[in-house]
Amino acid sequence: MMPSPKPYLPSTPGLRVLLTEDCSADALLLETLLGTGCAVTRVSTLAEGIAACNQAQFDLVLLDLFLTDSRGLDTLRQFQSLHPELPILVMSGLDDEQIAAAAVHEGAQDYLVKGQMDEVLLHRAMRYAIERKSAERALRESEAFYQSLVENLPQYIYRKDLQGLFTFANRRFCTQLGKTLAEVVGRSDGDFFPPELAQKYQADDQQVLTSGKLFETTEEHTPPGGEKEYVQVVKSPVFDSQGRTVGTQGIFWDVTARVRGEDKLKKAHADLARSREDLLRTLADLQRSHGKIKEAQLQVIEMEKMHTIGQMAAGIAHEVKNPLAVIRMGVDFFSNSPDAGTEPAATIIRDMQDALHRADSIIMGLLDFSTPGKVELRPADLNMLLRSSLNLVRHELKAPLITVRTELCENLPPVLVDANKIKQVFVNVLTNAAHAMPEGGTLTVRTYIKKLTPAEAKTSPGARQSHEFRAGERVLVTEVDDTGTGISEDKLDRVFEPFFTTKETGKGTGLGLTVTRKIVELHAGSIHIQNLPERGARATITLRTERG
Amino acid sequence: MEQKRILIIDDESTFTRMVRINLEQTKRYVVREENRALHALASAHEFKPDLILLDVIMPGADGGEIASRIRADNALKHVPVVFLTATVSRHEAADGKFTGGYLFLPKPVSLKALVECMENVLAAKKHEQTQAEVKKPAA
Repeated sequence: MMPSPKPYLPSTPGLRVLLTEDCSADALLLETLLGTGCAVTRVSTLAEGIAACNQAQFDLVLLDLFLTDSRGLDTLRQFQSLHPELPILVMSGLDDEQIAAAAVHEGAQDYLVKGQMDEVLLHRAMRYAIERKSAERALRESEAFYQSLVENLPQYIYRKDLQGLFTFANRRFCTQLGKTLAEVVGRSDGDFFPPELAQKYQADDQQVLTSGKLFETTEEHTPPGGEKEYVQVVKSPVFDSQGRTVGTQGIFWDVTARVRGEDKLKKAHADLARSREDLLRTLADLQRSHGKIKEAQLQVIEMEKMHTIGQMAAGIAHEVKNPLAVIRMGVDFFSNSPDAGTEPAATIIRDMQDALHRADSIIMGLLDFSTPGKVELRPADLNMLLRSSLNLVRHELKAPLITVRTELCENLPPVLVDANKIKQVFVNVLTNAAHAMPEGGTLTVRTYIKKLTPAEAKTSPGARQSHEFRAGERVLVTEVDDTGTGISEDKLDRVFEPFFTTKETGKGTGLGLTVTRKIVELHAGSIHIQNLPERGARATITLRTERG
Repeated sequence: MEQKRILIIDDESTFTRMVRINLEQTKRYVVREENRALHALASAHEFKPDLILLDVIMPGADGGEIASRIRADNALKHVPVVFLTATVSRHEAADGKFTGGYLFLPKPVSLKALVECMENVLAAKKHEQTQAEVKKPAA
């Protein structure tokens, strides 16, 4: 047969036990039950027990309530008052169990009935007594900790029940209300605050109770004659151990300094944003001004350049015309000689005359360029001027064969121009168109009246105009289209530059379009050259009507 | 046929020589060259021209000044003056503008154009004189 297992013995080795028992038999029994693992100090009276505790450290006191120098609960009370830190296990007889139970109520950790305990029970009771005492101590410390927090934090803290009656208020809150805790507990907000404010607090509480959630807000208060103050409020529901809502609790604190700081920060931020906007506006203005200055500077440079070129051109023209005049007279002399009609003299004379004519054309161009002069504007018939100009260039259109197509709008209002100068413009443009078609082609001349859109009123790339047109202005437009090779895009912007030409050597002076543009600008008109989508190029000349 | 006397005043001696040779080749003109602007009036007094061809820009005195002095001179004021200038532009020349009562011809001028112009001016002058004589009462 297997031996019965040894009962579980709670381990209490090394425990220092003070055994206060005046009955030797009971004491002996207890010492036996305690066993050798415990360090037992045995005394017979309360006085001896207290003295022993003053001299040595104990983990537990086994206390008989009925001693020779003290009896009943007084024994416990006296011991406790002097050594409250010690766990006490009260021992009683069968007849005084009720007193033992009362002792537990008064702070003893447990009681044991003599004669009804065994080794296991004793050790278990001792261990539980020590642990309970330790738990009580921890609880007290914890309570002290929270008490310290609640009372010392610079916040106002309170609790209310479901009816909105205060169940707790920390010292700071009580001081603010000017009441003691006893005067606060059981009262409602209505007892301390003006009705409107109390109503608001109750509504907030109600919201917390209904939602079961945290409620947070910043409240404003303006004390009479004072500045506005701000309070940060956090309210939350209070639950019991079953999770039922049993009230609300709140914590609030003064955030006036913070809110004022934030307000200042917001204002500073707004000021900064305004300053930034002002700065951006100023920057934009500056950029616009810079753009205008740059544009003006370019115009001045352009004008200076033109002026210098003009002066140079006039000087060159004068100096070259005199030797040309000599050569001209010389050629004329040989033209009248008897051999002039025979070859090769006839060819030589003709070539010389052509060369003279070409040189003279260049010089004339230079003079035209250098003397833009003034324009005498008079109403004229645009179509008639164009027909007259076409007549002037008819020799350019014969070889190679160029077909001329006219799409002239009849009943145009008079154009306000200097007729001779505008004819020079048309002759230049028509000649250019003819030269662009060395293999022949079609030259189309078109006129019409139109009302300018805002986009058209702006200067477009490749166009130059001294006076901007207005949107909605009625203008007369002349278009000259050719079916030639067009102008390469990289050269399109340069066609109005002096001495720039796309023609072969000897064909162009590079001044035709420069002079043309100059004349058009004198008329406050515009000219621009563009390539046509299919082939060829278009010159568009926009002039003002008589009424402008 | 009576040869007309032409005085050409221009600082460009090669040009005046060319004009002289060309005009004299026609046998219709006797030409005198004057290349010094400051001697223009003296030459005119001495040569007694029927027509003066006058350059505009010359060193010493410009054509405008010389023309004014001719107009102010009793012996010369009836002599027509035609300006030959290198400064006139295409349109000014094409219009054959008279400025201050003078005709301008642009350089380089062709012999044909020059002769035509001179003949017109001389014919107009002759016509003017004829008219004046007709109006003159018999002595």
